[in-house]
Amino acid sequence: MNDDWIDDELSRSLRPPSEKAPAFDDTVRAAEARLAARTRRLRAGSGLAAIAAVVAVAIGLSLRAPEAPGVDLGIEEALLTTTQWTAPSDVLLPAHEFDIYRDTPALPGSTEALEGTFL
Amino acid sequence: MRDDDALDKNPHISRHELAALHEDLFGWSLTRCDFDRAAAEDLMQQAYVEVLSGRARFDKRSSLKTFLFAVVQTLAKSRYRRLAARLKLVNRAAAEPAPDNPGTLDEQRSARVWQAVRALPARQRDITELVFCRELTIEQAATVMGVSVGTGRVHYDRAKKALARALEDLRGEGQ
Repeated sequence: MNDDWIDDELSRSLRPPSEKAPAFDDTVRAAEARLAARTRRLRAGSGLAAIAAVVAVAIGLSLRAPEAPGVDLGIEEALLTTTQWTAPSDVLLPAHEFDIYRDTPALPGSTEALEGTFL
Repeated sequence: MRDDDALDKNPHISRHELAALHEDLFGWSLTRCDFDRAAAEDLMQQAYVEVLSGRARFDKRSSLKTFLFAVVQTLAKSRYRRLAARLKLVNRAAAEPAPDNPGTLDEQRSARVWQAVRALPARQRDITELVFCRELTIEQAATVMGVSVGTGRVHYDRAKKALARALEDLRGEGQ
């Protein structure tokens, strides 16, 4: 099918709408006013955000729990000098030739049954 | 080299270049807003805000016209999508009465073709308008629409086939 006629038809008939555009200078001025308003809004917004951040930090610092007092170094030194510690000895170890597990005591066996179970 | 009247935040765009494309850009905005003039003016201003602020930055990777059309298209797709849908509903609900003076034959024919184009799916409609009414190439139109050239060609071919069917009765008339 030859579609050349539709190309011609569209090129000829599809003209831009006759609506007149608003003046270029007016449109640019309106755009500049919008841009200025947006910049003002952004500045005001960022200023408020900065103030809010400062207030939040100040409140956070003022509400922080006081730190637990540290260990008094004087007391610690006194404790170290007045106490002593020795390593555990080996008095309970098998070297002393006594091993509570070596000899298993003989347990008496039960031969009497009660209701089918050894006592 | 920087133009004397180059924009501060967009040094590759000068005011006189912008002014030269203003009319065409408004036409494009108008069809983005379903021919609602107030919405189109608002869209244009928003597009200029993006350009003046440098948020939409022109780096000469395309023609200025392609770039500006793409800015309007992107804004229309995001911010004005819901508004445009609402306008379309309102316009459909308030069925336009036939004008007393239907205009010349050429105007009637143009209105008929526009009507057929507006009935196409969005991408087919956009590429048809960009190529035939705004005189962009298919490659430029695809850039404006944010699709690949291949996809642009597919929409272009489908649109032409659909329009050929819809406007069959105009074939051979008034040529």
